Amino acid sequence: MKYRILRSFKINMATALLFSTLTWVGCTKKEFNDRNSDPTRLTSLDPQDVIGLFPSAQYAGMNTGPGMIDYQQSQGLFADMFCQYFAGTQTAFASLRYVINQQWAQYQWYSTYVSSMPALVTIIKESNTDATITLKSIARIWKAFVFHRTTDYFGPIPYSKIGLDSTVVPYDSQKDVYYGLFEELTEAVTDLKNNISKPSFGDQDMIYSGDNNKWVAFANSLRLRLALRISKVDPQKAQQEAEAAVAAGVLTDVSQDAYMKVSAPNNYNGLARISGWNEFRMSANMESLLKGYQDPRLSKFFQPAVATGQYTGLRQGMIPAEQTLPQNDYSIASNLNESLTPDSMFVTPITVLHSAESWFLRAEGALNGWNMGGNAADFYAKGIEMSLRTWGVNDMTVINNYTNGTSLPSAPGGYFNTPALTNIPVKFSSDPAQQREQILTQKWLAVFPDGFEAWAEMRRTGYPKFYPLIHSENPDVPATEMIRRIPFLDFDKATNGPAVQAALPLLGGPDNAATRLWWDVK
Amino acid sequence: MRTGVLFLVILGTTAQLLSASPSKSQDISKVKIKMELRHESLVQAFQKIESLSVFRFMYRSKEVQDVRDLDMAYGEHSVQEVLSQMLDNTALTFRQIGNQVLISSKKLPKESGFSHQQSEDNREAPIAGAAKAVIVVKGKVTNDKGEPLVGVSVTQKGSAKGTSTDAGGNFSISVDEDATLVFTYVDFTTQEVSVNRRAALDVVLQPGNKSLNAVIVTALGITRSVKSLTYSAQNVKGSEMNEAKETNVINSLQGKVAGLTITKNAVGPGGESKVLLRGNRSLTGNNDPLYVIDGVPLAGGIEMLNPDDVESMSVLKGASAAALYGSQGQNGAILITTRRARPGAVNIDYNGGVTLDRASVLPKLQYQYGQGDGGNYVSNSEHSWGPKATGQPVELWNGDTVALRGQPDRLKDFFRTAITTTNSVSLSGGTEQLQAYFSYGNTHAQGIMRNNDLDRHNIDLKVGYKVGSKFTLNSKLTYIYEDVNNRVTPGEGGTYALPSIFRAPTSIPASEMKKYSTIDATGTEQQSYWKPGSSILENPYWALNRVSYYQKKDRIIGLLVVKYKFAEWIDLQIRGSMDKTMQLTDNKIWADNYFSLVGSDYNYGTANNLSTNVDALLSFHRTLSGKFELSGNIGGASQQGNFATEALAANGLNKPNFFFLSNSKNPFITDLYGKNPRVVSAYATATLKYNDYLFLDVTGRNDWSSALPENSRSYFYPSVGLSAIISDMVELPSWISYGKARITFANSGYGGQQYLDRNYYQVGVGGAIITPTIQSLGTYKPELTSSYEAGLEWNFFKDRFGFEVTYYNTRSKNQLLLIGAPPASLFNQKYINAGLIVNSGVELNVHATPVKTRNFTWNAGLTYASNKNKVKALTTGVTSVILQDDREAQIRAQVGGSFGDMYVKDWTRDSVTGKHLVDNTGMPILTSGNTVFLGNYNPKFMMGFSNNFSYKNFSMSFLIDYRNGGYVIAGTQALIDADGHSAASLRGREGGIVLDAITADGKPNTKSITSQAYFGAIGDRYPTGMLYAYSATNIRLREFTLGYKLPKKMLENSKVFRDVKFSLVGRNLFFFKRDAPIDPEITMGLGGGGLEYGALPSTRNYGLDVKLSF
Repeated sequence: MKYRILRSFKINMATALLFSTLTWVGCTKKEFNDRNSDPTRLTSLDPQDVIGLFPSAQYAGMNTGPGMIDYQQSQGLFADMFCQYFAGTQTAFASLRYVINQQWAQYQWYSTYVSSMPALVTIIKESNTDATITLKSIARIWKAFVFHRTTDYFGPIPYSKIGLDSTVVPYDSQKDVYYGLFEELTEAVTDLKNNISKPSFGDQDMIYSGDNNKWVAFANSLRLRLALRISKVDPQKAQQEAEAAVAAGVLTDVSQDAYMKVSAPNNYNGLARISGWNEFRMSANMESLLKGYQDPRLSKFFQPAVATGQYTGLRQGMIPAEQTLPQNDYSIASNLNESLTPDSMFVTPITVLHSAESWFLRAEGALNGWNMGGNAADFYAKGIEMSLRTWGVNDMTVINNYTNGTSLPSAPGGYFNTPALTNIPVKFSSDPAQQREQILTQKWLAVFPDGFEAWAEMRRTGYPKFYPLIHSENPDVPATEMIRRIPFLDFDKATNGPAVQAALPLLGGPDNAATRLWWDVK
Repeated sequence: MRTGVLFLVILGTTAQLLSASPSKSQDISKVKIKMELRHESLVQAFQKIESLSVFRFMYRSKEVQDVRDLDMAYGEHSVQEVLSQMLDNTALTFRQIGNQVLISSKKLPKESGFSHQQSEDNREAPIAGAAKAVIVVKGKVTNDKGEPLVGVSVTQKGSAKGTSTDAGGNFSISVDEDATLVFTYVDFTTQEVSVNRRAALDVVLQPGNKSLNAVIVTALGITRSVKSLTYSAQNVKGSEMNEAKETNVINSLQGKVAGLTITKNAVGPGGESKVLLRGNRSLTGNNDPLYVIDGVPLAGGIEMLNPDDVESMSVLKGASAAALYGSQGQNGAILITTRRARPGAVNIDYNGGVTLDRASVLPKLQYQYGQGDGGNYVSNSEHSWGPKATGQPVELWNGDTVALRGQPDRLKDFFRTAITTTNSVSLSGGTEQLQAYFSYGNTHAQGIMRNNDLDRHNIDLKVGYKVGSKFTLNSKLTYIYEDVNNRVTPGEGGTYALPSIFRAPTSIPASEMKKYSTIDATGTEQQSYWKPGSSILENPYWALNRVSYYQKKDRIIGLLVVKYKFAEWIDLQIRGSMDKTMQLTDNKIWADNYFSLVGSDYNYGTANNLSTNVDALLSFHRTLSGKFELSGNIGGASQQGNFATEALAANGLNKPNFFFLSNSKNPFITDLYGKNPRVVSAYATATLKYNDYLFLDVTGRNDWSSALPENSRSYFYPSVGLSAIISDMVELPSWISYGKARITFANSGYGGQQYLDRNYYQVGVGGAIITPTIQSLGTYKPELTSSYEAGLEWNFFKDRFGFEVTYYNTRSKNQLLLIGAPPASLFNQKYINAGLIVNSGVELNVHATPVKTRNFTWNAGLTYASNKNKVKALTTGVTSVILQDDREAQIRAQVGGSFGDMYVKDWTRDSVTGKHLVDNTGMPILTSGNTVFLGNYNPKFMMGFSNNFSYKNFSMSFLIDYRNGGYVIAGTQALIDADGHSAASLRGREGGIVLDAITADGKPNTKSITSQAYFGAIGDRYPTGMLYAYSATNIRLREFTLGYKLPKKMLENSKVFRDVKFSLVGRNLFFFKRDAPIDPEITMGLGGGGLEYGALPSTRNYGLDVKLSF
């Protein structure tokens, strides 16, 4: 009996051995390969997936959505502060005293190159048939939009060679980038116009839901914006591009305003998301202009301060010991309007481009003597009207009263005894020098809350005027000056060193925040 | 010792029987040889005979080594004649067994206490195994103090029969009447006792030559004698750990093992710890050692074990020690052996403890100035820059009027005295055939945070079953239940409770803070905080009560081992195990938490992990000709894992503060499931022993990992080591009791992570396709570590003093690095195989018994370890990799530097004079980023100094722990300085601060700035790290125990208890030296060293431990 048990055990044992050996040997290539394939992700894309790439590219372009994106660190703590829409109230955030925190600045780089471009490059590459040419064209328009913001932060950037190499990706001069963007927009508009009735991204287009005509106007408005941007450094090209853009049809009406849809959980309105933390407030600049002009947009942009019930703005560049004084505390200053607070982050769409801006661009073009299809005064008035309509002010009497207003900006006073920002009224002046300031001041209000655009135009034109910082902690940029650019990133120096070195001479100055960009000439 | 021969005989003869050689043995009296001897030794003589005949000799070298200077004239004699002549006048005799000749002593020395008789008349017995009388031998094994020894292995020499002593030290075994019993016990001299037909045998084991007899569990669960090890391994007994125990058993190893660094993750009870053996080897990968419990690699979660179940731990420090674990063992391995049943009477053991924890290192605050800013009282200020607090009445934010006074006890009040109770009871018993061990343990541990506690239940069932003499089966089933309320999240994560209490104005009374909420007009609860809507902070008591994190884990570990002994010299073991953890998390966020973007919120998730291992191991042990013995193993294994997680985020609740899933506003589900790599392995080891004093160890392992691309899937790594017991090889002065030298070269490989060989797109919400941000590595290669180590182990004065020293050098290459990629390549990071990281260091263990008398013993031990880490190479064009980019510091690995170099913000200096610079308002000019090299966070060396005293029934022990070098940045200090809460912020309160610095034009600074301006600039959330960097050097009293055992006599009268012991224990009692304002062991998490930020204070604990045996 014992013997039999043992014997059968031996047999079982042998079977077990054999079986396990077979199991091991049976780890065929296929089993290993299957095991090493992630069942929850895709390794290749079908045509529908290519369309599916567009939403994240769009959201990333507005610094929201899933991925390596952070609205606060790419925009909120830089462009939105530097254009003085807001004043920082979080003591630890030194960028409001002009300190460039590299950890934050790299987010604009990431959202462009890592979150937006990979999708756009793929769409452009994969959409080469007649049926998909609309996809390619719209992707190119969006690519131009994303890139112009990034080059306006840093100057020279990698543009023409992106994605071609994984070790060194060379930078292009800002001039080459701009010329490239013009080309991109021109070709895209041509292709899109020729195929205007073909479907494009449809539901997966978070801005225009596949309306190709709106994309054409959007592209032309962007082209006009870029043309004005280079009007000082390259007037001839600027005029040529501007006139071509207007001729091809820019945005004219609020119905064409470009907003991006929001949705939970990732695709939030970035500005609304960060305003609940009480880390910034309305600026003294806003207070001076909006209160002085009795601007109907004041209550649309902002809300009265919690502690006082008043609309109050704060100065930029306070040190912590000043920020925390009761006279400067955020509780006595205005936060954003409820439509731009966290409760609305999945409600209020993201502003991409207001049609009002194109009217102001045309006004400035007209002042330059370009053929913009009309005169500066009319464009100026139209721009104001469209901006007010954008913010829900549709009563023509209110609009006309505002457009013809003669009141001047007010003096915020307060702890720093702040004077009025400037001395121009809304009513269009007869003095061309004042006209330019008026156009740009109104445009600054009209593009709100697009800090990228506001800051870029302030650098180019010097308008609207701005308050000196209370303190600058950046040795390169005095408190009375404006930050001119964001220095090249340590992260790119570490990972793309030779390319950054080669790009330094393209700057025309030291790699710091005081060096002017190519288009930013005195 | 002579009886060892019997075993050899059996091995030899069984081998012969198995090899089934048909040749008949020759007779030594008939075979004639021609030879001569000239002043030759007996061993040489044997060699000659062996070369001239078929006969092979078996002998104990110690017994024959003294027979020298033999002479014999040339001539032809039978082998028998030659032997008779040579052994004449010696204590040796000989006899033929087949073609082997066994040399043995004629008599055993009397002084051994037990006579052993190898009578000539039963010489045939070992050969044929003929039937003999079998008797039952019973007895008791004690130490020299008469205390019973539990778990002593009792085996019949030369047979598979064996048992072990029960909890009373008793054993019972049925053996041949003439058998020899071998008694083996860790740290005691192995004793062999001849049964000699006695039915009762009491044995006293001497705590003798540790080094010669000690055994240790090594890789794959193979028990080996310490002297044969060619690498450094350290054994820690459970009894050394579970007296002053920690909820996480690993933490108890601190200071006891040279080369082991443990950094507690300050998250309250049940937290994981960062455990490093010999420094960081991998740059971005895993540096954790492998945990193996009862031979089965554990899939993490070591902190869930019941410390009372642990019998011993073996720490295999280097890649060499763990070469056989391959992929997982690259960082060394910690092998845990749990308690199991012994045949014998049923034993019941109870172990209970109560421990009290108190926060021990709290920030130093100021209580002279009240809440406010700029010298004024401000009721909604988050600072203490207000007026002098002299008791003047002020109205608080909530409308209450109080006297403005510093509140010195408030921080102490916030943290409670946490009580931890542990109970564990074990039941074991069984027969020779069937043994069972059952244990149940529970832990209820409070954290010092009032909402933080842990409940854990551990159930362990082990059954051992023996069928016949050849087949054994062992099974184990472990079930662990653990739930944790509000595991502490340090810094600005989770509840914000810690930064909120540290940063609360020092004049707000705790009683006011405790009124943490109000009900608004709509009936919704609102937070009552002095600065509503604060960007960072909350009312600390609100944070404790209105954010909750609950985590529950059910874990099952199953193990089945079958072993079949084909013959004495060969057996096969097949082992299968699984480890499954099911986890549930539940996170509730009440409305009006400022950090929430969506109001009240709810997150819920489950996670399941399963890992399975199967392995087979064929072990053999054979005597080769003469003095050589070969043992080894051949095996194969397969490991794999699966994971699945599901998480639901409510993204806001429709009805506030009602926490259930269908109340979600924007429900969002993420699920993740997949498979960990499958690694299939084949391995072999061989140990060649010469004369019991020279050991050659060779191992080889080949792995196939499914994570690697087809063409690099297979990788092989060998090791070779040599160990020499010098004290046995040459004549040494008698005061040297043991001397060993060893050296090992080893390689190991790591087969990597799944899914890295290609790029994947993710499918996001609404079908959006998301591009990858990390570039895959199509040419993924296994990571290889090659190391060598050399060591000495010497004991002196009958082991009263000894040391062990090891030097090691480890080179890791082909590392899988996740490095930054140029984003314009359209990836943010990429994987590469590159780098060369070298770790080298010295480890030293010294032990001494300065006093040893009948009643009093003093044992002392010292461990020392230093490790140097060098980053030799990264990859082409890359000289620096950022490991962590934090507010306080950037941590890098830089070519020429070390893992963990810290770069921080600094106060700029004039390049000529070296003086600090200020601007024209007198404010310090700081660097804009974390760009200035500070130093490394790793310690230069670590020491542990332990002492054990025992006097009669009392015992006392303490352990002093010394960590030298490394930097830590005190982030909390930077916060409370900027806020004006810290004692340091009193500087310049009145009259301001004129910094000792110069302006850009070289003139001395004359401008005064306020204290608030100064600390606001250097401190806060992005501090000037250089000004908050401290040396992490510290010396502490890690452990103290005082024990008392009830006297035997008292227990004998009671008839209930076998053993009763009480201990008073304390851990982390105080610091002899500490520079930092925090306990440097407290770091921000498992990944980061050297950074502290709103961390849970470390604790001091006291406890009472009771052990009862029935």
